[in-house]
Parts: sequence; C-alpha cells; structure tokens
Amino acid sequence: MLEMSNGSQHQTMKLSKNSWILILIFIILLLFFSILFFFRSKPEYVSKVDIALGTTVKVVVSSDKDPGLIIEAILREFHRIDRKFSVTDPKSVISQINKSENPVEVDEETAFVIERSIALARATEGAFDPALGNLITLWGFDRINDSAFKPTIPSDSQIEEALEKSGYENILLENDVVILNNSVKLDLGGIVKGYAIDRGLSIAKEMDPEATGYIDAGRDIGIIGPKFGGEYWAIAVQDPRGDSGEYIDLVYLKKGAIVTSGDYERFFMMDGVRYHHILNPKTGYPIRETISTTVISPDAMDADAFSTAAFVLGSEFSAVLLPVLGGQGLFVDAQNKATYTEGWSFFKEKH
Amino acid sequence: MRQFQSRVKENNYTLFQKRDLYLYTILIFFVITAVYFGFAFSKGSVVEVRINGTVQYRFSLEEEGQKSIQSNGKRLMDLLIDQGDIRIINSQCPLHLCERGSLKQSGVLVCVPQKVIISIVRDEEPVKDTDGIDLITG
Repeated sequence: MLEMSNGSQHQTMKLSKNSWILILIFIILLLFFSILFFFRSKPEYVSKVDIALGTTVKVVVSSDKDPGLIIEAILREFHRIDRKFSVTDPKSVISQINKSENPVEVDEETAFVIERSIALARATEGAFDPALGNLITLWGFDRINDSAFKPTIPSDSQIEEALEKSGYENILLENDVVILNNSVKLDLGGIVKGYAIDRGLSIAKEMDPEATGYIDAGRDIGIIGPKFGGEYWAIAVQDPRGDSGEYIDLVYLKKGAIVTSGDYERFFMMDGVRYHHILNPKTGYPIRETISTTVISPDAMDADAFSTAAFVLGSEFSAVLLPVLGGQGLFVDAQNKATYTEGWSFFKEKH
Repeated sequence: MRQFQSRVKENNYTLFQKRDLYLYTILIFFVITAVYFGFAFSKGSVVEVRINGTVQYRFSLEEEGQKSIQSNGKRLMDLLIDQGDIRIINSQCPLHLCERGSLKQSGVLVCVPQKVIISIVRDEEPVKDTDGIDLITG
C-alpha cells in the first residue's frame, strides 16, 4: 500500500503484483550486497616493499593475528642485519673486524654467521668464499649502489695483490674471537641476504606459527607457509637474457627457499663487456662460463651460498655436488643452455 | 490461451502502470548511482612514490606524461606514465637498473641507490587465487 498526495485529493494507490515482486528482488539484492560489504573477509595477504641489504625486500604475509605487525618485525630485522653486517658502514661489526689488526671478540650471532660461512666455504671447496673483501672492494662491487660509483677495471697486478689477501683459510674463529690473517677482509654479501630471509621466516613463525606468505629479497625467496594455507607457490625462474619477467622454468614450493645468482644482478658494462659481481676466487675475475644459477634448499642461507658456489663451479660439477649438500639446482651456461640436478624435476610438479 | 488472456484481464496484469512510475524512477536512480560509484572507485589507481621510506609524490595513472621526481632539490629521475603503465627514465643512479621493466610487469619499481620505491596503491589482494605465476626468482 502506498499513500500519495495529489493536490487536495487523497488517493490510495495499489501497486501491481509486478511491482511487489520487483521491490522484493530489490530488497533481497540490497540485503545480499550489504552482507557482502559488511561481512566480507579481510584481504588474505598483506604486503610491503622496502629497501635493505642493497636490494628490494618484499614481505607478503597472511595471518589471523596482525600481518602488518609481522611484516614490520621482519623488515626491522632486515635493517638490523643490514647495519650489522654491512661492509661499507664503518660502524658495522664487519667493518670493525676488517679494520682491526688484533683479534676481535664478537657476539654470538656474528660468530654463528662467520662459522657457517666458513663451513659453507669448506663444503664448496672455496667456490663460495666469505673472505674476498679486498677483491670485491678493488672491483667496486661493494659500492655499486652508490650514486657516485664510477666503474673501473683493475689491472692484473692489482688483482694479483688482492688475491694474495683473500681466502677463507685465513679466517680463524675460536671461542667467539675472530682473527683475520694475511690482511684478508670479510665480505658476507654472499650469505647475509639468505641469513636475513631465514631470520625473517623464524620471526614470522614465532609471531604466528600458522602464518603463510613469503619473503622476497631481491628475488631470493623464502617461504613462510603455503599459499592460502595449503597450496603451492608458483615460482618462475627469470630468463637471464630475457626481459624482466620472462622465465625459463617454473617450480612449485610450499616451504624452503629458492635463490638465484645471475651475472645480470650487479654489473657494469665497459667496451661492450659485462663485468659482474660473482668473482672467481682463483683468478679474481668475473666468472664467464655461467650466467645464472638457481638453487632450492631448506634454508635460504645455504641456498644463497650454494648458488654462488654453483655459479663458480659450473654446471657439470655443481649438478653432482649440490644434491650431496642438500640442494637442487638449475644452471645456465654462457651459451644460454640450461642443465638441472636430478632432483630438480621434483619441484616442477605439484605433489 | 483465451483462458490466460481473460485471467490477465481480470487481474489487471500489466508490466507498467502509470502509478508504478514513481517506484521505477526511484529504482533506476539507485541502479545508476550504484553503477556510477562502482566505476568511480575502480578507476583512477594512484601511484605512490616513496623516497627513503616517506611518501613524497602521488599521481593518478590517468595523468599521462612525464613527471619529475626530486628530493632535496635534486632531480632523481623522471616517471613516464603512458596508457596506465609507468616506466622510470633519466634516472641519476649509476647503473640505470631501475629503468628496466615497467610497473605493470613487476608490480613495483625500485631504484636501490636512490632509495625510491614506486607502487600502485589500490585495495587489492597482493596474492591472487589463480594458477598463474606468483613470483619470480632471479
């Protein structure tokens, strides 16, 4: 019933049956959309991008607790590790060790990272070497992000001199005291990003064991938990000579870490030649035989070191060594030919 | 058929009656308003430029052209907004790695040396419930 005023005359209008149906449909739709609006579930994943450790860090988290708080805690940890293990910040622990001519007593965490880096150097027969600081500084790859960076190619004699002051065998660690012999300098750049990812994953799990998501630090990835709690994350492997986003393979992970080392990450071009940051610890020059290596491992720290080592060792040797060390890998040589460890195919399927 | 027609006549079944006109007008008004606001909110994604962690610029993706990004009076780079996509050009960083790719391709543009992060601000899930690629290593 609808009463309407028409001038002085009061008229009672009866709505047709069609109109009542239309009103009913309208009310139902209104109720439906209101329910959708007010009771829609919050976005499953929250993400934030920041810059730390000389690269982009993206953290994506889903949690019944506060995902924003988890993300902030992870990013704070990245910044803390960045400050502590930086080779360019004069206040960092690494700078203090590198500057000192005497034994340096370090905290438990620093001792753990150095100890692990020595162990990984031994396991990879020095292909991953945390004591290439002099060589890296000579090439300038530690300052490559500085606005004032001017690339230069060192002379053979300079490289020879830096090589003599390199090598993990010169790092002594005993009872949390570090001694650097032979004027070597530490550069943990090949492991510290992986360490930061592992710490980030631990923080997420400490704050909410049910949290899922991932940490992407310069495209080195650690999985917090399966996508939407049970699905695989589909992770593409960048084509080293393709445009950003073009990929050569696709793997599926619910846990663990995947790390890639490429000659296209930190490099400069001079006279048409690419000079990149992964140096051969034996020759002191950038590796030419490999252009990209990707490693899947339970820990990001190990994956980080293994991917550098595999880059140095080449596909043939790495394909045998890597599974023994607990990783699986994909290697792309200078001819852009990809080879894989036997276990790599496991990750190409959803199980 | 004849029976139906007579019933229609008896019950006065017609789709539009003059007295329903007010109701239909109101309904149409609601629908048009809803559609208008729906479009208004889905359009006009905003691009946010963070320098050293602080939001310094905001642009609409519809503001096509070249935008200069500066910090403390120093020009850092230009942004080229073209057909709903953004690229960094003329960056003052040493290696120009940030000039590779576009915002649509990578979801976020970053210039590490100059600590610049460029991203689209929208109320959208960062993880899509699809079978496509979620992320890229390398």
